[in-house]
Amino acid sequence: MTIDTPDLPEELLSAYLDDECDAAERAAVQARLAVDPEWRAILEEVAAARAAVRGLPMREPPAGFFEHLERLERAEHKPWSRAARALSAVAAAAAVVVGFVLAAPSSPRHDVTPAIATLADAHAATESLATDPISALAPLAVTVDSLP
Amino acid sequence: MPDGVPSWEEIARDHGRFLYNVAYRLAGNDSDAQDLVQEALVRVRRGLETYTPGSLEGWLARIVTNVFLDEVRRKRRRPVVALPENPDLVVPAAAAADEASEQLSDEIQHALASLPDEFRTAVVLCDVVGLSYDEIAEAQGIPVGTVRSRIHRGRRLLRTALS
Repeated sequence: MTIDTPDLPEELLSAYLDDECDAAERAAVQARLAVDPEWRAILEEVAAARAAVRGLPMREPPAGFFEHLERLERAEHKPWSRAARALSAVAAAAAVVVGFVLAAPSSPRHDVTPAIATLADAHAATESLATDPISALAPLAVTVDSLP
Repeated sequence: MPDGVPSWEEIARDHGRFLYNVAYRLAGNDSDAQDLVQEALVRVRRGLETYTPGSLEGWLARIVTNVFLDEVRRKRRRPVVALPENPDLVVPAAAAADEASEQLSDEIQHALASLPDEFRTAVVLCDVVGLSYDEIAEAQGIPVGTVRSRIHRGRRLLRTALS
């Protein structure tokens, strides 16, 4: 028997197994299988792989897994929970506003300019003339006014 | 909730095992399967608002598959840095998954996990979930011819890995 479908794609074998071929493809695959031992071997291989995966047991989740997810879900979507979250947001916003109000100065700002130069000069002169041993080692203090 | 549309709790209770099984076959271990299911159920909650009654398990399988593929893409963008080759630090590939499974199932699961993600997804959707090629194509946004090719190549690789 002659192979009349030499260009038939090999992946048709899986489609054939899964009943995903149209009538013409099915006939072509069957004709090829009838004459081609290599194709028959491949068909056996993919059929075995397919059966292996289909025969895998159901994998069970760990005990309590979905109960845990349901508890999370309930906590997330309880009406009171949503209301509580909304209230919390309002309270937080109010706290921020109150904080700003309290932190703001209640009267106009008064700038103070202390007479630093005068005070420093007086202090330097006094300390340098004192009788403590450290000051005595130093010459008369240079006044701030005399600095460049 | 409109007629025919299950509640989130009903889905978790009645279809949770199905969802977990698909997630496990895609992810290859329990820890990742749990993460996939948790994220899938978040999407289920959002999706229920627009869900139209139909093949519920097909819909769930598409959601968990999308979560899985999103995770695959995320990992590809940020590849995990390999651990140094210290025997004390090397964790067996699916150590956590092996505890309760029989040896043959483990071997098949390991072989399945060794497939490239695209092939494994197509095989799982076909042979674990039971979707048709058209449904897989629609779920993944790829042509039916690509589905056909991925399933076949996936099965051949699986057979090689098992032999």
